Amino acid sequence: MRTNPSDRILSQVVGGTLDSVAQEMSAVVTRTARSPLFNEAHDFTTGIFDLPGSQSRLVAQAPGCTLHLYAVVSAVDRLMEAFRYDLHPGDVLLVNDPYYGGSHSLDWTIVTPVFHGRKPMLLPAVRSHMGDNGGPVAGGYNPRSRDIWQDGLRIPPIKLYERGEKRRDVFEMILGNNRLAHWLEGDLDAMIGACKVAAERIQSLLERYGGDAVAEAVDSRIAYTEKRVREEIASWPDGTYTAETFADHDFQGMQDIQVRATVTVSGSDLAIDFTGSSPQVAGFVNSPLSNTTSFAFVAISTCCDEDIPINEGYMNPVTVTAPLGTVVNPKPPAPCGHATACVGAEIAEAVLLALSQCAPNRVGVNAHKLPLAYSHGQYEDGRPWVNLNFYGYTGGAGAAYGTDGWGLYPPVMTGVILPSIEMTELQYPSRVLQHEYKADFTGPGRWRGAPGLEVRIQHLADSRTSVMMAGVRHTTQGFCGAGAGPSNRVVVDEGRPGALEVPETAFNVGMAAGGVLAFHRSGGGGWGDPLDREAEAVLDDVLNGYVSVEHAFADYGVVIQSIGKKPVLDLPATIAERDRRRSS
Amino acid sequence: MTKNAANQIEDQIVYGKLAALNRHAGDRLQRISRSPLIAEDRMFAAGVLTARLELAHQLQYEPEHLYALRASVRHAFDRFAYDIAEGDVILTADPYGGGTKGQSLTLVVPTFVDGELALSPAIRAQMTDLGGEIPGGFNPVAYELWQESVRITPVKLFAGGKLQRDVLRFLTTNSRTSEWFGDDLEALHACCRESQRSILELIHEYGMEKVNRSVSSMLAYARSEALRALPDASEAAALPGKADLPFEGADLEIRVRAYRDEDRFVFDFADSPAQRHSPYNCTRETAQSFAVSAALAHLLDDLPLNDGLLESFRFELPPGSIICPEFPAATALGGSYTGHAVAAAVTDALNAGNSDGAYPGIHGTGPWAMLYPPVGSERVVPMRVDPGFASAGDGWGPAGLSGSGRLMSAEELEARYGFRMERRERLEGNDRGMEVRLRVLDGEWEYKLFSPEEGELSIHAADASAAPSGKRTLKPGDVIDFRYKGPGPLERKGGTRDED
Repeated sequence: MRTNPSDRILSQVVGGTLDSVAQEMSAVVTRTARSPLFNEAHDFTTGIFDLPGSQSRLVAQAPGCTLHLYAVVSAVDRLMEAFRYDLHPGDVLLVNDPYYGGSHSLDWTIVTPVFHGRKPMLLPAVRSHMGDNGGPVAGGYNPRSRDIWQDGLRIPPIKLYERGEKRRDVFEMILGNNRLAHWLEGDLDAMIGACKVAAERIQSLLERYGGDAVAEAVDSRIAYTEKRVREEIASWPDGTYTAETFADHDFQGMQDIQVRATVTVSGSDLAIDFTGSSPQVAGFVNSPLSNTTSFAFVAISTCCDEDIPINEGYMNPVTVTAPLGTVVNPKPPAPCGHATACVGAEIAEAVLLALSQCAPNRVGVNAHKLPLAYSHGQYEDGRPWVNLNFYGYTGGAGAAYGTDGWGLYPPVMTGVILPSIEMTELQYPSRVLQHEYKADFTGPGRWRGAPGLEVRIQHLADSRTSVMMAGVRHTTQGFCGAGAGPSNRVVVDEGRPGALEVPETAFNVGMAAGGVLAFHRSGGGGWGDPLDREAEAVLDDVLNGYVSVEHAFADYGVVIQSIGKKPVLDLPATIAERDRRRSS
Repeated sequence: MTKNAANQIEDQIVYGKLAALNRHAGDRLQRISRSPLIAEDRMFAAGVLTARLELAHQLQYEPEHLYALRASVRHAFDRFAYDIAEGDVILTADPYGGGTKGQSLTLVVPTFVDGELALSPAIRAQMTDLGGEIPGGFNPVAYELWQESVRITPVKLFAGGKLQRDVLRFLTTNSRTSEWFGDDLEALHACCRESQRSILELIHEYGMEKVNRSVSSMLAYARSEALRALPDASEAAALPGKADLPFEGADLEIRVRAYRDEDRFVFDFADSPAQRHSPYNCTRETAQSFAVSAALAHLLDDLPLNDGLLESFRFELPPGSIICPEFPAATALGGSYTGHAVAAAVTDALNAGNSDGAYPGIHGTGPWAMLYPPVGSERVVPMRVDPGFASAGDGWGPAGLSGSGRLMSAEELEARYGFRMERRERLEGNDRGMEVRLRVLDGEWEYKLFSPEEGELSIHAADASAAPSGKRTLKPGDVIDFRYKGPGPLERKGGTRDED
């Protein structure tokens, strides 16, 4: 690698250009896609890979759904393996299969190779969560699933375009297996369009600087990221740290599914070993290896500086070991439909809990144990709708050293945006009746989790809803002495005679027009001992309605008196109470 | 001998050769296919279609394919109207593209002579598994086709002679029995290729013109014979028929009016019930196939199955009805249940003005089961178990509509699957039905039972203390009893019944 200043500047320019291209891809998808999952929720990730040898490398990415990130790396590799001897300029490749580098089959990856010197050199890619994936259940989450076919359509590596020509038969077969074909067609075109725009930009880049210079710049950029991540790891004390956490259940009767992470820090190398995790389970929470790696990356990335460019260099110092046949690396045909939420969350949590033993001030922002509830029905003209009830999942962000949990979505969904209520109500026969913070519904700590939420969504037409609970018995953990988040709750058809509070799962529950789904979505875990939280901060929480006077005392040992109607901090009483608790 | 008579003889010879090569395709398929559904149950049809996509000849062992093979091929060709070339092989398995149920797949090899489309061989067969919620595709609670199996809209397996490896990978990946599926696709393809070679030899020997003349001649013959065999009823005096649907309490019935309209015979199902939120809907092609199979039951072994026969009929099938459902309604059980009611209604109509029962009833549903190792097991091969047979409506033997599959062999069941057939006997008494008892010897099996009103199915646990109802799997020692309804008491000459 060259090291003179002009080369470093060129590296920055090329790297910045590739970042811009990835961001332009993201903008193209947002503006041209049809499904609200894309243009409202941004549940996709764009990135650029290179192919220096037999394996691809992530070179640049735009902010998107973080949990897609390392799953897309594996997906690109599987696509390259499948078409290694049959790859041409103008090809557009598609894959969604969890056993071909995917996570769950709702996440589809599109890749186009950009050739230089008759070889595929750079590969723009888009990975997106689709609105439906055929199979038994509208929306693609089938809590009754017991094998991969019950999750939905499997798409192993396949070409949508060959040498620039659309394979209409393949395209139509893919559309034919989707309830939301009218969305899917536009969404696939948006993903392909983004890749084509990227291909043009990359060609310009290659023409301007030449292939060798671009390759060297990419190498340099990856090396820089690796150096920064190694510096971070090297700052942690060498040793082996183990943690375990549990998913509540697998939706098939199995409870307390263990994810165990043993993290070994050795200089600037980090080894994560999931040996000891539960064997694969019958239900659809098994995490394919690429998903497991993705969530390990999610955990590590929250411990590193945010200005580090995200690319292959991030994971170069890290090795992930996951025994085959376990819930973190299942054998086919185990179902995986829920892996990006359930067990994925536990993977990140276990790694963070282990890292909290060696890098306590770096870990945090743990959250993701979300209750899913998908509703579907028909518009008046008979077309199907599938509402993901996004508002019900918000909340759950954990605290980190120096900061309370913030925002609505947890960091694992970094670039995902909450759709606007107005658009939601325009697109579906639904009304968001309530979406607000709920008092005393988060993990306490020196820094507390973001408050939990109370959400009520009304469906104005007859609908059916499937609910998948998580974080009820094994809630989101806090770190370093902090409290865990509370339990999630979901009630279907709230307020009516047949109202159902869902214990673990509910499948296709009918709800007549006007029915209400009520979500009680817990806040995240805290960081540090709640008794160390500044008493004034607790008072602020009381004034903001996040914490009640009673919980200020019970959770934080903070005594607040009411003078007139105004809560006032009683600092001497607080100090006395906290001293008493610490000494006992 | 006049030139005309000589031509007619030559037409018969050429057509006989065409029919023979098509029959050979069917024979070969039975020998080289992997799945018992094809090799033993013979759930397939082989056909040859003209350049105008008329059915030149069809060999079939299962009635549901009668109209579906041609319709599927037409749908596929329509899809590739401007993009068909030598070396292409096209597949489709789409209930809403000329098909019947998702698992029945049609493969066609477009064949060209001097750059022009000539006679193309096609095979339509039921696959063992094409994904979906339930292994084997028969999902009793499905209401959308995606809940039954993957939907294969027309797609090229070979393009210009080149195997589309990614398409093959897509197809096999979406099957729990990917090896069987891949092998059966190879078998279908090989048989069609062999037919294609024979077709080209036939054309080389006689010339395209003679072959076309021969086909046209036999189409006309089949048409005239088919129409000759049907009653002469005007629309004003249409023959009414009806039959109960053998499911959901049978409070619904299929109604039909049958009459002649110029040069066609019409089945008007205008009063049929609306489509169901269940898998009992049968597609247009299924309804047509069962209706005509019933109408011409007494001739189907003699008449060539070709376009002349198919075009002798016209159908009124109201869109949105149970016999012509709208996308994406589920259809997997349409043939097994609703199709029989269609046939029974047609038989009823044709016999309406005919007291001697000239039109035999060939309907008759019986119990059957789908068994498979527990879903999620490393290898799940579903098995259709239909070890006896229901009697035809008129009681002269197995229901013709159930196809021409071989009766399940007791040895095969025991050696291959680990089931012992302990009993398969005619029952004594008035009903003279059949009872079959299977005992599980090996393995654990999940099951779906399909028991229409005219039959019974019951599970008995090896452990008598275990409640049979709600039992999720079968284990060694457990027993399945199949009870098939019989033809009823014997009839004496003169119409009285024997009460033996």
